[in-house]
Amino acid sequence: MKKKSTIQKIKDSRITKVMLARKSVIVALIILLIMILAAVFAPLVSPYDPYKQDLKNMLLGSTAGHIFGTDSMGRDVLSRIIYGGRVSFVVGAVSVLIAGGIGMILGLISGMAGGFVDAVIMRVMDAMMSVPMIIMALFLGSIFGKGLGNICLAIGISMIPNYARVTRGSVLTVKQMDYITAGTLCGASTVKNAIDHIFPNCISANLVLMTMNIGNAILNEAALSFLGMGINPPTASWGSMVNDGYTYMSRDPIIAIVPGLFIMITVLCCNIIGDALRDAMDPKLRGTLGKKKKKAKAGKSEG
Amino acid sequence: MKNIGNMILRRIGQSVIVIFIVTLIVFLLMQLVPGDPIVNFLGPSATEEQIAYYTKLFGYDQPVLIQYFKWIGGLFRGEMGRSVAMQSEIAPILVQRLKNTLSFVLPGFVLAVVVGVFLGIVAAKNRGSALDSVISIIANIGMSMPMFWFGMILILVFALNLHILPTSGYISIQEGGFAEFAKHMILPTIVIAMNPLASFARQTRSSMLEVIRQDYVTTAKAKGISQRAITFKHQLRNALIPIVTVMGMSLGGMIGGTVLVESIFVVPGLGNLMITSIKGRDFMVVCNGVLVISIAVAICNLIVDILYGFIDPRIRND
Repeated sequence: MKKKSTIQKIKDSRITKVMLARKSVIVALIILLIMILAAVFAPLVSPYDPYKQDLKNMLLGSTAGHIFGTDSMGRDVLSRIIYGGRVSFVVGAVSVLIAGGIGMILGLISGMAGGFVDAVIMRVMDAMMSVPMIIMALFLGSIFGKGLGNICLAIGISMIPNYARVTRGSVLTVKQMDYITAGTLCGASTVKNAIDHIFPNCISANLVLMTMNIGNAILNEAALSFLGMGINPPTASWGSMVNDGYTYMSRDPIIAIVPGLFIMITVLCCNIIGDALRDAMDPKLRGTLGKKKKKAKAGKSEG
Repeated sequence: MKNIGNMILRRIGQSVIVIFIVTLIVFLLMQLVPGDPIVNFLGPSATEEQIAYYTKLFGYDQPVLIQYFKWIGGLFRGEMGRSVAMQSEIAPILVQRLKNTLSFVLPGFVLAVVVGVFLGIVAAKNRGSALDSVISIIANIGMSMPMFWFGMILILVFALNLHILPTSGYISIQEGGFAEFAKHMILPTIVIAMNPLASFARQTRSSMLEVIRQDYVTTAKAKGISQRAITFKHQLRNALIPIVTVMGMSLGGMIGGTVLVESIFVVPGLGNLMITSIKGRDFMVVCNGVLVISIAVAICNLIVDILYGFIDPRIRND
């Protein structure tokens, strides 16, 4: 039998088909892809140096040379937006990976160990959850300090409890399955069972959560940068650009509006993809998605 | 009813443990924050003796655990300690700040519930129509919008261009009367409500869709019950559990959102206090602030649990 390549497998999978049946997902994917490519190849695509100050040309407004104008230091806003995308995408991806990684390990330990260990881990997670995420991130940010890595860490840690809970829930369900008992009977140790059989079953739920949280992480980074506790200036970040522009809003609103618009579009695209993935992986909705038109017609003739 | 009483007691017990852990974590983590509140307060010109004097005065020279238990002990007597930066008792400040915060968070929550649930019902009833799509798009945008940016746009439109509302600030009812107070609170209320409103609308739509085709709805229709009664008594009531869950969860998010809203609209509330205290390394204010916030979140969760019991008799009698 010929083995399918991974790409072919992904292409043929039901989840991909269901997701791509939504036009909004395709649009979101294309927009995100363009933004990510622009951020990766920022030095090639950005029209100006994002850090070069030009005090003669500050707050120009939208002109032919600078479509989104220039900021209070005369730097080109479009170039800064392209570079700022790097911060948003890195924070979005890295902080979610940190949260997912640590959260899954904690959830696995908690679910497998049970008893006292479980109680301690879960109560600490409860405690973390009872502090709103942004305040938690602010608080952790003040410990770690500013800068890209520290912000990823602060936002990542503040998102851990969700993953720990979801993983623990899956572990408790999977632990009861017959094949785990079979594994134990064959002499598999608890650790081997956990790593080989239980952990892989927890990944899909966490993957959905991770996709859905990317947008949130980006919003949190923007919020921290807006509050002046995120990325260090002069590095461009969309949140700090909104903050800079806010001061000059009555004179030149565009420099604050556009970066915010980019945050919104990016988060919106991430959320659309996250929602589609969640729906596609939801067993309750299986068979109802991806055939929208037929169903709508049937519904009409029914009512 | 006895069951509900037991459940409430059990939940309060759990919340107390969780809050205790919160205080411990925050207090210990606060020790890791670089910077010293005393040095921050006295400024660069302070002498060694002055710093030592104030450090001793505030008890910061004692071992961490002793400081912690002093704080917790004080809480039972209604004392929260003193703020270094503000040179005053923390409790009255926190109460005042909390009042200011709630004066736009509570109306915002009500606004979000009423409008969000209404939009969700309308969307579900008109599934697949243009109206449904419009509501969906609004909800999606509402969930993706950076709160500070939305606030800024509202200031730009209503304050700077139309001149009908003030840009920022807070005026209490005692100072300027209700009209002035309300004028200042309209924009913060809308901004804090936007995100939860969007998530309530989405949740209501999807839970309504789950119950809309149930057999008991057809039965109710066949019995000749009015459409309105069906919507509210038979459908919404059954759809409420997940909606109430989302409502409970988003109140915590709203309290967190005050950090942003208060910094844009310059409202002297809890969120604003948290930022200045975190930036100024005013340890005790941060610890007490987090304590108040986690108590608020615990109360919200408790209310949600009690509501479950009222909405669903199956849970009540379990």
